[in-house]
Amino acid sequence: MKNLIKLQLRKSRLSFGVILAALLASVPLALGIKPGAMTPGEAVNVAMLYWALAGIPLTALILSGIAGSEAARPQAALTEQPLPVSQYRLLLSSLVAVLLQVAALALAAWAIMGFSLPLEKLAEAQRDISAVYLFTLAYLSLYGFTLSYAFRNGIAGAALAAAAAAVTVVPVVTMSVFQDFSFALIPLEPLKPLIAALALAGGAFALELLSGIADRKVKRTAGNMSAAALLLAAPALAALCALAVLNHKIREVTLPAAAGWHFGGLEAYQYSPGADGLMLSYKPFSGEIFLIGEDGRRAVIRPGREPREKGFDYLFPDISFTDASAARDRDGVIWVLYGKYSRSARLASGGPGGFTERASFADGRVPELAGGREPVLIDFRPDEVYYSPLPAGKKGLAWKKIGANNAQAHAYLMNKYLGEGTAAEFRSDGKTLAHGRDRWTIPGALGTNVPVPGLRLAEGTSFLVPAKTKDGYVTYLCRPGAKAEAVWPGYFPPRLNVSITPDGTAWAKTGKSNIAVTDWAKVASPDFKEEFLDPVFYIITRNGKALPPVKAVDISKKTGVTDGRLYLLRAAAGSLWFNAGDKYLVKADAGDTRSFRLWKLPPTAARNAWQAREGAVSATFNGILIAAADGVYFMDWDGAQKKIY
Amino acid sequence: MNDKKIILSAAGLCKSFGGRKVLDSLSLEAAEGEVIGILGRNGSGKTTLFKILLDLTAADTGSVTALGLSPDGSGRLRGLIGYVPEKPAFHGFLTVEETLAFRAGFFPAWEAAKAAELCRKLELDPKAKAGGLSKGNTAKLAWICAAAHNPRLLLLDEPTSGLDYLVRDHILNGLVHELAEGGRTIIISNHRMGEMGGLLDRVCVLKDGRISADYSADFIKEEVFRVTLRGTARPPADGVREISRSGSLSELAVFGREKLAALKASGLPDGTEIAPLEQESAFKAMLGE
Repeated sequence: MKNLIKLQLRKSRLSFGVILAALLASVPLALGIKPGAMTPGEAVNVAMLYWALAGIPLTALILSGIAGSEAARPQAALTEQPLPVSQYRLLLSSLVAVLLQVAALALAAWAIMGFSLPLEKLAEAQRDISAVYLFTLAYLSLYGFTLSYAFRNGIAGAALAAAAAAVTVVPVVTMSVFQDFSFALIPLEPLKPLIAALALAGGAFALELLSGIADRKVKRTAGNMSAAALLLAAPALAALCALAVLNHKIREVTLPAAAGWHFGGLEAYQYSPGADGLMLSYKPFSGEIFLIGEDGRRAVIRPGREPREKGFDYLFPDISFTDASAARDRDGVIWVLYGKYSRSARLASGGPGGFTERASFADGRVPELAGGREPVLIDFRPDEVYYSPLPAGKKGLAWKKIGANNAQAHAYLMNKYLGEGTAAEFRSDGKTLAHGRDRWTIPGALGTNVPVPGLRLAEGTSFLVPAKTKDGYVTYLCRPGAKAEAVWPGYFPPRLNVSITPDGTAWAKTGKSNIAVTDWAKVASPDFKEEFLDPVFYIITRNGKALPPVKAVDISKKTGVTDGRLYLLRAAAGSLWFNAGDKYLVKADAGDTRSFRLWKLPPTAARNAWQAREGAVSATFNGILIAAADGVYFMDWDGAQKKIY
Repeated sequence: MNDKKIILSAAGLCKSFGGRKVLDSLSLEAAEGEVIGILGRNGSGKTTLFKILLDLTAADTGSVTALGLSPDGSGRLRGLIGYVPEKPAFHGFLTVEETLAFRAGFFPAWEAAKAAELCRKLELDPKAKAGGLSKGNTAKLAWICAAAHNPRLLLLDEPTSGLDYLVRDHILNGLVHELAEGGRTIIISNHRMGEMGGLLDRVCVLKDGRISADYSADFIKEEVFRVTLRGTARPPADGVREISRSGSLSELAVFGREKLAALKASGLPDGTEIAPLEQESAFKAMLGE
């Protein structure tokens, strides 16, 4: 074989030598014509980038096209066939010679660049880019050779090889980028090496079959010719099939429609559709936003559309993430504000029976729906902030100015909540918290100059107040008709984002990150993954019982969810239910979270979407609604699951 | 032949190209040291037969065993056979000695000294580029390549085709005789079988895709007759072929004393002449048989 490879290398010595000389000559040429603003290193890198992106792939096609078509010529049969080696080995030696020459060119370009890629800005993707690049060169060489041999024509073979490589590599790359930036809908990680193996092995087997047919060792039947064509087309077909599956699956993806909240610390006032057995969800492909119930009944808020207008949309499906928030007024009408991050917010009202658009916001206005007994719309305009009550019937919005900045808007809301009786404030003595007739004395209370947001518990609105004592920090719970009770040792500010589950449980969470101040070198590594160790939940049940801090480290470890995405969904009858990273529903003993059960959730696609605070899962009284990768599911608290849309 | 070891055996070979049957149940055996001439017209399947024997192409059906090996597509069989193709070709960018050195890498039994000696004997310049060699010198190089690894079996496909007299003489009277006397088995296809002279042990006629006749060299030399007679045309019969006809005068080739006796018994006209048929004419008649 070595002898043959040497012969083949010698055969193409001239064409290879000319191309190598051109590559080397491009270095002084680049230095000679470089603009003044460019450093010599940059000029050489640009020249080598040209070679990498155009010159070397083209060379792979030229060399393989020449070698493949020459191997099929009668002259090659006369000179080489009588040798005591198989025709396939003869062809392989010729192919190996092409691969060696292409590798030599790539190595030369890499060496000229100082054995590093000028892709500093793509540091994390360098390994993938290099792998795809080397695979593409091998693919072009193999297919260029095989197809040129099959068609006995170097130009036709090279052109077909370029087309085959494009049809295979481009979808794989676009799918990969798409899944990295949006959702993982198809298992690309095992699929990519499979396609690569299909391309390399399929090409080699096709070459063997074609050499057998050319030698008349294998019959030139329609079946054999189809087999060779199928072997050559297999990687492209696999890539296109994967793309078709991705394009089909993308239609089914549902995501939770959530939105960030402008007023940190006031989350507990926001309406959760789960309290009414509903979930706000959307389809990122068509853009349809809808409200769905446990029984699968849907009310469309924004109709979807067919977003495919050009072929590129099939390569890189056009999806759009959106946001939505909801409020419910005194009459039970649900208001949904959506699209505020795309700067084209719209307001709709309705309920499970259907929705009507009520207002739209252009010119960069970013409105917010603020919950409470009387929900209002806050409108952040370029210079001023306005509010409007949510109008009954068909009335329009009636804007009133709040002030010029965010602090005034926050103060407006707190005053509103004070007026509605759902917030408390400190007396001037700095230690007496007053709410209606209730008074609580909290020595060392912190944050006494601003109102304290309330938590709506079964026994009435209650308040969490952190205080500083001589022994450190302590957190008090102030319940109606009772004294302030120290519930947790440590600082637990009410402004920490407190969530309310549909059953009325208030909770918040802390956790230690594995990122330490001194760990920046480690964090900068592309392989580093931030982990949240020792998640601890602070829970107040609907009945006002403050549970001791709940450590959920065992759940975190068992489920493998160490990125902090552990959310409380329900606390009842001595049990706690968690959503573990949108992967599992976990039911744990409230007294000992080392004892728990797991139910696997259907795959979700929400990894890179704007997340609801509880992930792709929305709790109701009866269970959870899951915005999954292929529709919407309902799972009850004992893990019984059904697809409802 | 019976007491000698069979080193090549082909049985029931069939091969078709696009519906045209080139070989049709062809069977052939060659014993050790035997020199066999394959006689056939253009397109009769001689080259196809050689390609099958060399494992360069596969038969549709049938089997081949040569030197203990069967064709398997690996090319191993070619390592044991010396082959001179009808149109030898070499890489033009290699010199003669580079060509020989390159080939040496594929044949374990290659003798570099023998190759050099043959070059000298055949007056072939080792430093000459293969691309610049004349047709005769290219043929010489092919012969050296076929002989330098001391094969026990040689397949010579029209080995003197297109060569001038001196080169033919060089090769036939020098090399082939030497090889034949060395006990090697040689199968030669040649249009001009006559120039093989006394080299051949047997001549097989390839016609309609099969060996239609198989004669020993002695038989062709001693038992093929020319019968010249006047009278009405005689229908062709087994072992009797008309060579020429001019008016009422016809020449027949008769293969074998029994056939001649049978012809005589059937009644020959007065003036009929019977003489041994010269080899060249005998081969020509065999092609028509």
